[in-house]
Amino acid sequence: MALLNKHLQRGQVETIGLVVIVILLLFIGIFALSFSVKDEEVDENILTLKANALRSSLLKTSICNITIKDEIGNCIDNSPECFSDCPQFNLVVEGILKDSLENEGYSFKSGNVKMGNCADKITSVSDVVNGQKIEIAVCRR
Amino acid sequence: MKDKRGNLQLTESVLVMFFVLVIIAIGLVVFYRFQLNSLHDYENEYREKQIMSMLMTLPNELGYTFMGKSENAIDTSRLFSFGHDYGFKTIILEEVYPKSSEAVDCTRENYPDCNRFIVYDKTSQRFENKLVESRPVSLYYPLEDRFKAGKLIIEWHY
Repeated sequence: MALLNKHLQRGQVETIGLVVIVILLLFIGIFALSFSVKDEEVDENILTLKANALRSSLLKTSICNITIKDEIGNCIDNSPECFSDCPQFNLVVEGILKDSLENEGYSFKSGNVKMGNCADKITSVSDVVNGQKIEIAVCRR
Repeated sequence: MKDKRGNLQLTESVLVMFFVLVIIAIGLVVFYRFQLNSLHDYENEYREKQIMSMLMTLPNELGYTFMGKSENAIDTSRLFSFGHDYGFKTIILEEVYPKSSEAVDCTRENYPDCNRFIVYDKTSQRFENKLVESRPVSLYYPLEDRFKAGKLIIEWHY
């Protein structure tokens, strides 16, 4: 009976040892996993740079004898100078916005004209033309 | 009987030592892989920050100024005398508007009837990877006195 108890005690000690090893392995696994699975961080600085650069580049662009900024002002008064109508001009603006960015989405808003869509965005410094605000943004995701 | 028990306990000890060694080896391998990944991450982070810094500063180096005031545009006439060494990179300026169906690389002979400037190009066969970043820019053509929408593309070969 004493011998049986002695065997049982040794068995329990060995079982505890096994359990400790399994717990150690689990911790190593969790540790390794937590560092290997990382969220991709979007660099805010580069997006702000792109948003401001996009605004500056778009508004400065020359079309016929004026700039896009001037034509936006003309379209607010519904009298475009370089295009037959404002929807045609808006298509050109949309093309520039799309081609200027690589993989990012964009959002453009000037009065009633809205292009693109962002769930989460970084907006450039806004511009004012004929009393109306022009907002250009680059999407975070 | 005692001999058999002794043999059994010896075998047990050997097995336990073996499994402990295996666990230590796994731990070492995991730690090594983790350290290697960390190093690669640092390397990538450094490259991204460097390329971002270049995207910010390069347009100022090639900037167009009027009466001493920066016009926030790249003077395209200055692109043919670009002599810096930026390592193994490719720097391209592309016209985005007006849009052309065909990319025409700019040279002194065909300027300004072209739409793509390969400002800097240094590559090597041993590099298989490249990190690409871009930003919108305004391109100024002094001969026409016009601004065109463009894109600055930097490719870092590594």
